Amino acid sequence: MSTWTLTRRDLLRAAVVAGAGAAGLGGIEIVHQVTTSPGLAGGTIGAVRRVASMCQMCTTACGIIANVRDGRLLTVEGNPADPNSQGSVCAKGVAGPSVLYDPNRLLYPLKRVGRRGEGKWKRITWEEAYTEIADRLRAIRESGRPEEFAFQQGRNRSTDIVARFLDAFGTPSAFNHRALCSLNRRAAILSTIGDSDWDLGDFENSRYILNFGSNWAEAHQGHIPVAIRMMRARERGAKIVTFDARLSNTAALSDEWHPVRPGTDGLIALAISHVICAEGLWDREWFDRWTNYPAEKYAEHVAAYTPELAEAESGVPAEAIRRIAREFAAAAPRCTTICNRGSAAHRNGFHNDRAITVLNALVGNMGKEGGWCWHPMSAWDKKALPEPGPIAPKPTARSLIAEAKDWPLANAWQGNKMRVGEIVYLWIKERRQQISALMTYNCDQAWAWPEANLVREVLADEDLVPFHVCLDVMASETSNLADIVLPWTTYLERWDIDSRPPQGLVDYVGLRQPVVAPLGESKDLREIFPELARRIGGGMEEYFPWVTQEEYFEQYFAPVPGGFAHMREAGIHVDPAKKPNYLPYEKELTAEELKGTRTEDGVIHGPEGAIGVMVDGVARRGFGTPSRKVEVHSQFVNDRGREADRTISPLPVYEPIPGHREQLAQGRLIMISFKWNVHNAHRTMQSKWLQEISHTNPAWLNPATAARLGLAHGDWIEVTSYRPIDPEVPRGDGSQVGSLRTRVHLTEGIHPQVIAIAHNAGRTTGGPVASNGRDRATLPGHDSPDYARIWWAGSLSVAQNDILPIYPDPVSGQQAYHDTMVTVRRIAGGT
Amino acid sequence: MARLGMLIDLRTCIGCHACSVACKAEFDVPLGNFRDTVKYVEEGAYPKVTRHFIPVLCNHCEDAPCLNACPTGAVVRLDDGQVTIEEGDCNLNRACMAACPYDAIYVDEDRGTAAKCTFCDHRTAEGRQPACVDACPTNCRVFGDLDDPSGEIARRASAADVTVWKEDEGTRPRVLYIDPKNALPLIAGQGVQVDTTADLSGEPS
Repeated sequence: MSTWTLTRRDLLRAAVVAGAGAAGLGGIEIVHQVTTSPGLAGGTIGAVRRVASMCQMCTTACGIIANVRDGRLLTVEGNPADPNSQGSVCAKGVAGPSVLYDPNRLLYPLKRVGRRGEGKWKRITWEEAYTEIADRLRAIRESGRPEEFAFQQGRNRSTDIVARFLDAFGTPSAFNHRALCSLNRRAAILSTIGDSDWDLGDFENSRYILNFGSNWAEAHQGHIPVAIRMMRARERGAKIVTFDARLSNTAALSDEWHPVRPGTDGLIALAISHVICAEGLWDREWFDRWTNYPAEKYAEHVAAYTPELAEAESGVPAEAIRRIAREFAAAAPRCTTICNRGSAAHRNGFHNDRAITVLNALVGNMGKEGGWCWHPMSAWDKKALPEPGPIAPKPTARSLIAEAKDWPLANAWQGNKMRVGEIVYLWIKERRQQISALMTYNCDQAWAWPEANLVREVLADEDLVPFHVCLDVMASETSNLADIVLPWTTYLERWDIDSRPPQGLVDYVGLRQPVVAPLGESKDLREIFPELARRIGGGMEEYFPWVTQEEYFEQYFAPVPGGFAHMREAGIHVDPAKKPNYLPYEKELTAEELKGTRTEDGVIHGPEGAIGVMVDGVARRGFGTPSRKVEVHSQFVNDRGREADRTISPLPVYEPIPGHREQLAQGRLIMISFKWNVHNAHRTMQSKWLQEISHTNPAWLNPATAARLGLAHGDWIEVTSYRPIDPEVPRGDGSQVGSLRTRVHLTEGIHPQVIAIAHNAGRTTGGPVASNGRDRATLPGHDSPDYARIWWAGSLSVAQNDILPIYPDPVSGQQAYHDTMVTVRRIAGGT
Repeated sequence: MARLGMLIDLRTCIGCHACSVACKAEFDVPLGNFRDTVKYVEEGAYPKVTRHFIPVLCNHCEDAPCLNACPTGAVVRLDDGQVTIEEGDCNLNRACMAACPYDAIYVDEDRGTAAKCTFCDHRTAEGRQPACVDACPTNCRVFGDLDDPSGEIARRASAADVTVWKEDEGTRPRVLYIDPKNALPLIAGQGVQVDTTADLSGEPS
């Protein structure tokens, strides 16, 4: 043992203690008292300020506490006041400082000086940037064709200010990435229950969870809030069964993993339904009472979907399907499904998710404790917390691209902007809509979009896109194709009102606030947009009357007890009077609500539409669908399809992916993509700590497949992709899309007809951390001693998106991420 | 005096790496060096295959080979049993690194010292949890006094079978695992440090 009486560590400790207001080592006890509630936000520990805010490393937006000393962010931890994450964070959240202090961050406005895409920039002032952008936008607005200003967003957690600016400008050309994400799932749920586009299984109280291709342990929109509840359920003995083409971490954490051929999840759900109906395991009474389709008739509908058929198509043994059906039904109502991109991001994904959703109705678990639940609000209570006025009217101009009418369900629901993101640049190329200025916000479409090379081609073309402004935290493939690059603040340096679909079934509201001052000259939209509005003028400026952002949020949070000051301290507010959204459909309508209504075919109509339904002589709220019941049979989707000349079955069906069977027989493989837990979008690849964990993406192949193709682990291969053979898909002629060169990673954890490539790789810009050393350009003042330590420099990192065909589900526009057919051949040494 | 230890319940580890990154952030651990990480191991043959997630860190062994091997007295045991390295006393002879069966020690080039997990003694002295424990979303890690029968760690350890990593080394680790799937033997040949040479190169050969 050391004989030292006071080590360096002791001195350090003493310094911390002294900062807490006590002197010398005797102060340790006092520090213990200070931290008797160590989890709370607000206040200080020693010299460390604990600032409550919200994460935005991914879209889950967990409540966080930032530990800040002398204006520098030290660490990030979870905020226990957040009812979704309950004080938990993930690796991405904890990695906050590495993104804030990323040496490759953009800190000054830049203007290109060479050809577009040439990579030559000069630093300009904000004054110069504002002047040029405002002049361009003013000219477009005054031309009377405001739709020629297009806004391309990636993840947008500042929806209020974005919509306000675009509406005030008058442009409807607001392009989001919904179809690249969750469109099919949302459309399936909306058409079935009407109340919401998002299911929130009550996992914590569930006994049996059937997971169709959701990777909640790594990538789901409810990531950590879902994962912590799943693990608690598991500790209480719940069973989790996962269907997935790949052994995701979620599949590995499940009690059973059943590998499936991509695109067959819906058929499995229909086969489970078949067993439940055939064996009378259903909650027939609930189904007949609360859905718009008789149980007997649904049993007839699913009769053709036998477990044997499902086995032939999906590879899941018929006996396993029978057993799972029995187990699932036996656990009802404390059982639920969860699904996500594994089932939805397919050419047939809308029906897959409809089939899965209706499976819940069959066992009567909807809205019940431990069952398949939802909440009517996907964000905070907007009636209780309305946006500060004045609110700009919605644009009257039209955008062909935003409306995307070729896909009948894309924008079928009012107020739910479900853009067909993957066709935006194809349609610009085809000159379907004139674009005079494009603003890209928190998006790297030139890397992340299917056929990203087409996006790059369009963005490089000054005829197609005469002016391009990119606002982002760091240099990206997209910012490289801009005329002006604006340095955006990270989520740790800016304001938002935010919340996510409540996994605890009670809505809440949160505040994102700057935990440190913005670095360099970075600015947020909330500063940029009001300034641009003032400079564009023409009345736009009237919608931005507040002087400071704090003033705006003071007004926004005024209805919260304690107001803005309380939010700054606590970060989160939950109304204690609110109860979980169980059985909302059974709520009886009051005499007051029934005043002036009329009832037609059992549906109770008020002056603003249907408000309830008569069930056994009682007026109840029911569901938010036209029939006020669960729409197992959706006339709505059928009608919308007919308007667009497409056939959409009103009942959930299995439609095999066109061409799959034939091409699989020829030995082609289905290429899927996936996401590792430490990554989200292009932004997370800026983090040295996250990249250190995951930075390479060799192609996953089953050893049996590799043996058939004569491949060994580490071999170089060329993967060539093909467009679908599908007249309902743009350019669906089966032609070759492109090739990439990568190497083989052998794993038993993948279906033999599948090749899987992680999407979070293949960056060529953003600095050496993100690009595995390929981009070594350093920005002025940005030297980092870590550069020499990027030990993964040179590791394999391949952009998969370049060879993914633009492949919208004809029904909805959802990008069919997991249906691409490819050939694989061995190449020598990568050349 | 307490007998501080950690219990890691592999039944609820989701492999998320929040612990790995929290540790990096807490100590600004240089790239390429690791005090804490999570090992991923696949086991089985298709379709009966799974992946194990095993968080690893210094075991703060009761019979610590690093402490016995250090010729300068830089490796010390604190009062509550944590094994730490006094930076000023380390002369980079690397004897501790050679002795550690867990490859838990690395050379911090910037600070000119051998370094490793400290069980976050600077945090626990303030009544806080180690950074990795604090960051764990599923509460699969518990830290505390193994001798306090009313504490969570002792309660959870006594309610299940516990084991240690590389028991054969006889070091009597204070990091305990609940490992019903018997995953630890699968990493018997590994250490805390990540094999930074294992990636497939992207350079054509």
